[in-house]
Amino acid sequence: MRGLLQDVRYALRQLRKNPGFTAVAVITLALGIGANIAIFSVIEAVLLRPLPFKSPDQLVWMNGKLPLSDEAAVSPPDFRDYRQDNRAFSCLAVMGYSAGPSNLVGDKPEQVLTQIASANFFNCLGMRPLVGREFTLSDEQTNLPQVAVLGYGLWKRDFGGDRNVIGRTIRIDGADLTVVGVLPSDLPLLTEAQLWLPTPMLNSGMNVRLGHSLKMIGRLRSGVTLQQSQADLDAIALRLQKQYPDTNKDWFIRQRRLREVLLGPTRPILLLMWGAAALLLLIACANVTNLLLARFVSRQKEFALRAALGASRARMVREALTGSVTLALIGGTLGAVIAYGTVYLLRSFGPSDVPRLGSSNIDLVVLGFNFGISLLTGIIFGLFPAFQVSGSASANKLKQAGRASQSVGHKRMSSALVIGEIAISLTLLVSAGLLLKSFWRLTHVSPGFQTDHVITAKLSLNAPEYGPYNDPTQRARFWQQFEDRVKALPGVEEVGATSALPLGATHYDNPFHIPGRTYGPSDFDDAQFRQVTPGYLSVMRIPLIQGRWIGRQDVAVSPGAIVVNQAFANRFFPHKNVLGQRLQLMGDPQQTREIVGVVGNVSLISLSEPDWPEMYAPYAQYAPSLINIVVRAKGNPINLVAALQAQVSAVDKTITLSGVRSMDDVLETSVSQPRFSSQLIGVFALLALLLAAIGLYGVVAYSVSQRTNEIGIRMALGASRQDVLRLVLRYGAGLALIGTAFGFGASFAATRVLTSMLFEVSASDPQTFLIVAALLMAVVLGACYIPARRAAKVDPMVALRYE
Amino acid sequence: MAETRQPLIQIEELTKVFYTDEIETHALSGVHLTISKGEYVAMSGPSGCGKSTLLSIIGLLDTPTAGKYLLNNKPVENLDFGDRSRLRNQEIGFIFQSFNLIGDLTVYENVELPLTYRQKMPSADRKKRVMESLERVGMAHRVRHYPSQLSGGQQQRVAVARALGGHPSILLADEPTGNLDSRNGEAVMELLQNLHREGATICMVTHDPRFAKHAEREVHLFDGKVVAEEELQKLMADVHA
Ligand SMILES: Nc1ncnc2c1ncn2[C@@H]1O[C@H](COP(=O)(O)OP(=O)(O)O)[C@@H](O)[C@H]1O
Ligand SMILES: [Mg+2]
Repeated sequence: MRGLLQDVRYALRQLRKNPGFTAVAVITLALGIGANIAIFSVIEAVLLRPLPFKSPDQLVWMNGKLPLSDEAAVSPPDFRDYRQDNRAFSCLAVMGYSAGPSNLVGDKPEQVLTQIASANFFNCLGMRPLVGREFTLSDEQTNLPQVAVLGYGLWKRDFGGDRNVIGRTIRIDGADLTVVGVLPSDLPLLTEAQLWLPTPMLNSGMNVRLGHSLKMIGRLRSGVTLQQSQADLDAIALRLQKQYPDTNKDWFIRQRRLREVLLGPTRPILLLMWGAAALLLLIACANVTNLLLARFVSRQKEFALRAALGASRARMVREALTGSVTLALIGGTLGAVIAYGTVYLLRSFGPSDVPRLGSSNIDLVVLGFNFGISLLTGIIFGLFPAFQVSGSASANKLKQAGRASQSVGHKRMSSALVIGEIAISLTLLVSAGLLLKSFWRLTHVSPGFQTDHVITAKLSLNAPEYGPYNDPTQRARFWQQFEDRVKALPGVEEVGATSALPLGATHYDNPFHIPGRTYGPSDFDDAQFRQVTPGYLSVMRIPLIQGRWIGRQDVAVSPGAIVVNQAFANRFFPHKNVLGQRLQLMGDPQQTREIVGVVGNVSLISLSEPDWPEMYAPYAQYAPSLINIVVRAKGNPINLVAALQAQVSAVDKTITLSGVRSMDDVLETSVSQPRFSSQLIGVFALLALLLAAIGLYGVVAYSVSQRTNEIGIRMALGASRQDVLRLVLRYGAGLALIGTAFGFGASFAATRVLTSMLFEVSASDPQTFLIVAALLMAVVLGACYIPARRAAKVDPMVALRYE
Repeated sequence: MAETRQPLIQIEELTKVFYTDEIETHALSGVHLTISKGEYVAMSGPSGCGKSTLLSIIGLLDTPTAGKYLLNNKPVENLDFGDRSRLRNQEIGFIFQSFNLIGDLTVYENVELPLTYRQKMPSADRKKRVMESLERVGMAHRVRHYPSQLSGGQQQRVAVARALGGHPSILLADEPTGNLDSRNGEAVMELLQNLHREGATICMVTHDPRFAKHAEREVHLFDGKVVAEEELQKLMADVHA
């Protein structure tokens, strides 16, 4: 122990004595370690931390599984059967498909996000209400919700955290509800809901077996495996199939662990980043190894002296390793500081759809990881030099140690390290290049509509069965008044509305039949579905291809009309005139609808997905309560926000706008993940390139310093400065070329993992490979140019000097 | 006979001052020297008298502080680095005390090296020249060897071959036997003498009087000046007194 302390003191003294070496090594290590800690802290927060639920490993997420899709939601009657009949779960519960805005009238009207949940939903997750109780089976026995549970955030914000809120009446979408409980926290991993209502199981909408609208979770009884619970669920599914062949044919439940559902999608991108960070650290290690090798050469005499004085080899290795580990720990400390800043940036600028990203921070676990990785790093990069130097020291003893020189082994090792660095950084650069190109391609996809000058906001005309707008005609009338007022505003070019925004977070499909075609039981065609107002098309600048668009004449009492997109026409009516065809939509107030027009395709779910078949129904004929208004402005659309809100209030002072965003922003958000990953990998790749360039610079500069005499001789023999410049550059370029060759091989293998993240770019895109290789060569040759210039300035007189 | 010879090197009033850390070293202070084509000159003098400095200026490795230097009747004292490199490569053949062969290159490559710095020399010509010069020094059978596999005498012969390969106007040798035992030293001196007989111009620095006798003419340097033999004796005696 005392020996170790002495070694550390000695190591520190060595580092102080060589501030240049120490600074370069520490900064290099700090970059490598810092990147790793930062990414690790994100991984820790997002992937490794347990879910904020009790015994989360027992929680299972359940989807409907049909021949067509295994991501379907569950219908309320099915849920009630599974809840009653299963034996594998200690509880089974559902929540609504998503949170929707409702109008809460308190001191001032506002929109809050509400969601329905079954009895025991929170208990099933392992949450106990902070105050009051959660929903019970008897809360479900109603046609319309009578009670509400407040989310924690809303309770704090709107109710001042008042524990006496239990029993108070709140007015939501025109209905009076009694507050029965307050949640101890919101559930950001699952939903944005701020306010919860019970599932009104007596409501007619909650008794349609084909109305797949609920998300189901369950908690496995202890000791029950997924296989056992699957058998349990399958038995129920088969029984329901027999009992309800029209609706439940081929209908099963697919189970996944909750953690897998919530965190699985972000795992590949995070692991990719970790991979990139690890490679960066590897490059940093290679650099520092080379620095150490060079330093140890200059200390050979000292080591030889120690060997002569009787120091054992083990002793010298330990001493050298103490030095490198000390260095790594200093680097790791600085790395933690870098990571702290990086994590802050990741939190602020990371994609919003990575769950729990905001909670990543440098905590004790991360610091422990930091310490471990620094220790490991120090050993990795210190080991080879330590053995090298102690080996040569004890072999040479004092005899030849007088003259410091580069041994063949050292030279091979440092060349190999630099080649490896270049290969790795090429791999990272290629990955970044592919992701950037893919991202560029993605952002140059035309979404089929124009986002500029368009602003959007959510408007809730209440939940369907209660309040003043429960009749679609009333909603349509509200819209008509609102539209007329907005159109009259200065600066407004056009105004429209849609039930779901393209590239937004929610999408609705609607099963339908084409009259005249034969369908099996519970067999439907399916397409994306939106209810829109006449102004929608020109606000979004979607082209009309055929027939006509929805107009003001399409009101509730006129014949049912529907407009489809080109993908729909191609898919369901190939080689046929689609105009005049009829569709029978499930749940439609109209018996059938006639296709009156065809419009261009738009990117609905993401820019990278193929065009989906889509249907547009007139809002006036089929008015949902939740709509997104879209307004095309003559100037900056953000300037219209206050005026729009004023017009809403003017029509109905209890209604407010929420979720105001520009359409540009909606588009931006839809590409935030690919943007983030390509930029982050890009930064890593540039750092890797920088480190590799520094590494090659170091090796070439060292070689030049070792070859000063040779260069002088060459000049004495008539080599011009250009000859010498070329000599050195050729050496550096040789290393770089070999590194690039290896890097190509590694890239071909490594970029396979990117395939699923790439859009319209092949993982072995030759253009990217070549451009990146050219960039790499240019940078590393630039790095070689500095020592090459120095070499060209060698005074040929050194040839005459004899030492 | 000397009068009929053409002058190759004409040096007048040559001075060289080194400035290091505010100390001025007058390495050469007013040297006059003429070397004719085909001459074999030995340069001697005590250590630090400026022999190497003079040789490096003659060899265009360095420039004089002041004075005139005509090489083949052309003034060369103010040439820039690139022109000096080119002239050095074509006109000067260096032989160093420590041989200065490049360890990573074979004997063949070492001899070829200066020729590779010439523009537009076909490799067949290079090969011919390399083999020719190696044969002249009796090292043609060692082309694939590395310097570390040769004795000191052999290395110096390879260095001579390297100096010859470019067909220089003059061979400059700075204590070429300084790192050799006497037997190997004799052999190298013999080699130089043979070359001189075949017409080579040689200027050799040596402080060994035995070897100086090989030369046609001896030039004595003392304290940065060329002095006559008798004067040198007197000066040396003063120093020792
Ligand atoms: N590059 C230099 N910088 C400073 N002083 C030098 C340099 N080269 C030689 N000298 C000095 O010039 C003088 C002559 O040196 P040199 O020509 O090497 O002598 P010699 O070869 O006769 O022993 C010595 O005093 C030496 O210290
Ligand atoms: Mg000398």
